[in-house]
Amino acid sequence: MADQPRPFPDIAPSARTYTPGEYAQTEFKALNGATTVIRYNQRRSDSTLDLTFQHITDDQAASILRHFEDVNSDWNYATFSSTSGSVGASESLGKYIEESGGSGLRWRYDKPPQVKSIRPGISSVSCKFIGILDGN
Amino acid sequence: MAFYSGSSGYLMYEGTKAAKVQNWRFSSSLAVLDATTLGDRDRTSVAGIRQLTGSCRLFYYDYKSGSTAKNDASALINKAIKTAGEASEVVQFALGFVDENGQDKTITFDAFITAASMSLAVGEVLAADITFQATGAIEELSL
Repeated sequence: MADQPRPFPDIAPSARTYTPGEYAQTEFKALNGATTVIRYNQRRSDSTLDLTFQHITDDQAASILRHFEDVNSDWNYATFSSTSGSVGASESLGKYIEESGGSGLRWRYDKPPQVKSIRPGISSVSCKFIGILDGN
Repeated sequence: MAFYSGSSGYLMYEGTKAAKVQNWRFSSSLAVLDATTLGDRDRTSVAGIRQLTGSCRLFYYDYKSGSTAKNDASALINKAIKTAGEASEVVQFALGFVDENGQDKTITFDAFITAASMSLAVGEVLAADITFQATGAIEELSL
């Protein structure tokens, strides 16, 4: 069954970058400089979350790849918690990082995770997620 | 209980004990990889790559072993300094000393000689300073 939440593995990232996305709108700028904005939705969309996992074990890297397959093999979405993607963030910021504060956005992989082998048994992984406002 | 001094020490290369070694030293280090995560307040690391380097000083000394003329400083210098077209060689080193019970305490490894230097001056004995860096894992350790 599609559209199911898939918790991200409990691996703390070493770096995290979050952008809240933008509001769907079109701007018209008149010749006299006046700007008119047509807003199509009161919800933001296309938030982004970049996670970097530096020097983790190969088994942890494999669990991230399994999660990627689990989310994308059917149209599911990733969820994060204070022991995974939002670790170290306050509760208020964590709601944005997890998109669990009623935004309606669902995290999906923007592209496949990138795994870099460092030395036997040690890898670094970078993941990029996009918050999608589903049309249904 | 016993202390050890230079009289107990030796250096071997390619399985042969080198003559007129004035000193040897080695240093082993481990590079760590940062594995600190968000939420940590203390740095966390995982083990990276180990490296062993060392150096020795041998007098440039001519001697005979059986019927063969030998000069260990010259032999090691020729492992490091090559003419055109010659490839650099790996040398097996064993640095050690004999303990109070007559047992050998050694560290054995393959290494590349990374530097060789000599100088000649009035009032000094001609000697060669050799530095080396191990390649691969240590073969034997009984220190």
